[in-house]
Amino acid sequence: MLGLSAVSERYRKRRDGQPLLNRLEVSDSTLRWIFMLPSIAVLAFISIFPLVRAVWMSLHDWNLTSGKGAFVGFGNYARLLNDPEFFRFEFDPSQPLEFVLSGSVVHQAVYTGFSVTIQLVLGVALAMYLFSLSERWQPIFRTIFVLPMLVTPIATALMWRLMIDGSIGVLNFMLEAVGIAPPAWTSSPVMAMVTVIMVSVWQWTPLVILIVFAGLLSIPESRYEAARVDGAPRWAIFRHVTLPGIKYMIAIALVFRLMRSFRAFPIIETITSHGPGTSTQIMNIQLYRTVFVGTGDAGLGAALGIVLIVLTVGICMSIVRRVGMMQ
Amino acid sequence: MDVPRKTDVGFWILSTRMAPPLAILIPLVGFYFTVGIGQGLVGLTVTHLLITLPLIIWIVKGFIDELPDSLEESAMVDGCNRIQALRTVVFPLVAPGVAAAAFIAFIFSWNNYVLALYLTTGASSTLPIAVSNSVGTYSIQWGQLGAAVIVTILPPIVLSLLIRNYLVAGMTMGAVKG
Repeated sequence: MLGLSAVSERYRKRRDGQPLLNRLEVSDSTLRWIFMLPSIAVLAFISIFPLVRAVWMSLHDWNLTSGKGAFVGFGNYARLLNDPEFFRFEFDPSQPLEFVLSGSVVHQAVYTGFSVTIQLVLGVALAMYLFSLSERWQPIFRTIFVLPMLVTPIATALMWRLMIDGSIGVLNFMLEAVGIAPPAWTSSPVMAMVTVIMVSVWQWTPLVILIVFAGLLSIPESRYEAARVDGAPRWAIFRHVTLPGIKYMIAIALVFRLMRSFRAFPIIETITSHGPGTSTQIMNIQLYRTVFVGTGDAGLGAALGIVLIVLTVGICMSIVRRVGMMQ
Repeated sequence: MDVPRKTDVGFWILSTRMAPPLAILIPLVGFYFTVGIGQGLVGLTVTHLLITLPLIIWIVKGFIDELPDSLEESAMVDGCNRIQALRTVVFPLVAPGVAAAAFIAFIFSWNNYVLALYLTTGASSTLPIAVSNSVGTYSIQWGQLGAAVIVTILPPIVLSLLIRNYLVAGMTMGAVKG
């Protein structure tokens, strides 16, 4: 009969030929820290440290190059709220139709609201079209649909700027060829916003298509059959079979589109350079211009950054928690 | 393996990916100037970890979660210790996922414009900055610009076509298995 010592002796011999890493006996509790420490440490340096420091900076008069100034408490936040570039609302009760509502918060809301809504609706529609295609065409169309998303955003922006150029733009040429007077793409505030939203839809609808298409594939065929056997009309099949099946995917697409629309930068800055005036300046661009262009008012910029972080993380995380992305 | 407050740590890692990078950049730039690296590739590389690390953690987590625990357990019953089980059983099985995560992170890092816009100057410019700088105010060399754009967009497109089966999982940080 083999004793315990003999077993452990053989066990050790087998281990001796192994590389050092395999012979190490580390307890689980130590190992979990060894595994987690590098990434946690790096993440702490690039997320907790800057966050705390940003709060600290936002409470001071702070210049990017010359450094810390006087403590101003919530002065930077007060300045931000009174800044017409951040939020401006002028309303005269005697003329209720002529009001001024602008500022980066308003532009952000318009940009995010319209672009994300259009992307979701268009994305779901195109994903369903893709799903209805035959086996032969599906992979081809899938690749075509996905391509815009893979193009570097700055390249997208330059490409569109070339296409809508007033003198050599191919889009204007095509519109004129079919007898439509081409609009002045970037010279009026409303049209500039429309252009920016259009390009953003072109670039990011593919992400929604991809996600929703994955959801459509996961709906079992038997549910459609059951609905058809019961004689359900097509809209009822969509409403009661398809939509519940892709609800989670739509929420995920919403989270990732929201997240990115809050940090949109290259497309807007290249196509309209946040203009005309500041009419397409969203919060992220205001932040960049406050801190990294001109005098370098890092205190005000940090305050704006905190507002932006709270907004983005707050909205996205509440959706993530609700749909249970963690499970 | 049980990690204390696993869900909270997961949420925290996810939220670091959600925070707009520019807001994080302000304090980091102040720090870079304090320690004397200022604008340049060193600072840019460290800052890009903010883009890539949470992404990779979440994508690979998705793949590891899919592996049954019993695989690792049976390896340990057969005499592996924890590290050995990870190296010889778990890692080879999630290797495609790790590769996909690396490619996705590469694409995001490659395409990034905002961070490089301030952190690099002149000779250290990354490709997106160089492409956008080639557009002058009065004259644009469309031929050169077109060539530069193609060079910029080609690597991400080729890589994405290579990993197209993992693209959805990658883009959604593992929330959707495509």
